[in-house]
Amino acid sequence: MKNLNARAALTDKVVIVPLLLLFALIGSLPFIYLVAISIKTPVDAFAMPPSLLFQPTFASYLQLLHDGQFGQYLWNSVVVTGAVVLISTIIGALGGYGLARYGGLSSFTLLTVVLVLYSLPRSAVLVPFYQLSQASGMYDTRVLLILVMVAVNQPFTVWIFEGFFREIPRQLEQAAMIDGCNRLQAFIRVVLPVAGPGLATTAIFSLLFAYNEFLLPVILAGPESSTMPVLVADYAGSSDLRHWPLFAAAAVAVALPLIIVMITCQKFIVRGLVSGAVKG
Amino acid sequence: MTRKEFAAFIAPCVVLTATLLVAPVIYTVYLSFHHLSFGGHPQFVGWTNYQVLLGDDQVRGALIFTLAFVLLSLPVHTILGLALALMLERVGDRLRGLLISAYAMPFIVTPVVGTLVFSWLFKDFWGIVPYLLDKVNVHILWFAQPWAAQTMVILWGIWWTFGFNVMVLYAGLQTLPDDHVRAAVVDGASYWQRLRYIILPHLMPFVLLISLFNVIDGFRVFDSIWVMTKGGPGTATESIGYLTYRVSFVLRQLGKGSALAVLSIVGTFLLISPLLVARFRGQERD
Repeated sequence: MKNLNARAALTDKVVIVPLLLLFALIGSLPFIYLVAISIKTPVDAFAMPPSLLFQPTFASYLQLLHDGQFGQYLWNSVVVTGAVVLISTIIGALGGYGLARYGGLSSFTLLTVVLVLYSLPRSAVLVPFYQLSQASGMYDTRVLLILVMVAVNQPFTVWIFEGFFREIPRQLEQAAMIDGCNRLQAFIRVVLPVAGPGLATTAIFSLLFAYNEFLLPVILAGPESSTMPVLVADYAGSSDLRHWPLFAAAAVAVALPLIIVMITCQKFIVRGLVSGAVKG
Repeated sequence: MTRKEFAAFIAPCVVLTATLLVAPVIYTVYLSFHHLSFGGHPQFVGWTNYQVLLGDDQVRGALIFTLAFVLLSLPVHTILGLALALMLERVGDRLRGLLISAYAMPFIVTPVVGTLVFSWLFKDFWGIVPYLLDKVNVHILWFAQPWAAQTMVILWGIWWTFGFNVMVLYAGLQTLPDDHVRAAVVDGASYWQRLRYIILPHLMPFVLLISLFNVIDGFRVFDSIWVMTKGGPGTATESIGYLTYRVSFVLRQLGKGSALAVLSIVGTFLLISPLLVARFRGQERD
């Protein structure tokens, strides 16, 4: 047995760990390359093979700071993402709680409805929203983006919440209701405080969705309300290689908050993904 | 919970979904039977849009490429995700957390950003990939040759997705009851036997779930095509999602674009229905 264990330990060191590291590099190296370009001068950024030793410069980041368009798009991203997270979480929590406690729908029916709504291509709602917003003067406003994103995001948040609330015992709110709370009071005072992980998971997924979404703002928003992905995509369309460091700096600025969120909140992300699979 | 309470709790999300999601889709279906360009009035044309689309070579090309994108990458990133998730069980907590973060980066970080870097890696003359391939005397113009551009987009799809699969499958492994595995070990089952008879069956619902999301997200791929190739060279890497966008908002044929959107709803549904059926059967068994 000891011999076997020793052999397993050797396989771990020689085969498994290097393989795991290799794919970690495949996943992360492009982003490290991006950071490297963002702190190079244009001349260094072109160099092939890539120069490993170079004088780092933060000129590109300074340039971004003084770029009014970047500031505007960043602010739009913050406002739109914040509003979508807040509204999605509130409405999703109410709906998910109702579904979890009423129990009239089987979880398979719910999954099917949610997946059908989730799988709708954006193009299936874009034309109506485009026409309506042009006619009503709502085109290129943050309110429009927020409304559409909340709607597109809703099925998914309800579904995640339903799973979380089902795990919370009914006795909890029943006790509160015997003490004289109505259903809503019991939900807010007793159920929500113990649903922290569910709230965190839904908030994170809503954040990822709203912050990363590209097609909705590219059609429904103009210079007033566009969010950061649109800016990065505009950059990508430019073939002027001299601007690579600037584009890279903008891309890093977009990606950094997400990487921080992922490293600090990994367990909520994983838990949210898994609760969906477990409950069937 | 009474029916009345239930109605009150789900009212906000039902109203929101009905007015802002379902109603627009119904309007899109309505438009798909009309001829409409920007600023005009819809004119009823019956099934014409659908007839035109179903006979159109560009639509067929986009459909074939989209299906190739979904179906060629699906087995690769599923098996890769599974293998990495199983191997992750053998390393310490700290290292594992870092590794999962690294795998998930392409999936978590804004797709537009990920694709931007990915396409830089392949850029003619300036990219690292052509540079390294030159060393072994392979010369590929990734953005000019149709098969090369298609391969690049499919590679991007695998790179984008595998980390998501690792996360879900690893989390799935954590839900495996310890006593099942221990009983099998006591009975003298080898690792491969445990994998075959205990671990893989337990992971099946998770594999189905990631496949559902992978197929749905793959079938409507848009961001990365826009950033990497704009559907080019020619229309070699045009996906259904990209074509729909181009017809509606570049060519400004809203009726035809709507019909294409309706067809992609049908297409997605056809693709995911076998997975849904499999999942339903799995539940019946439990």
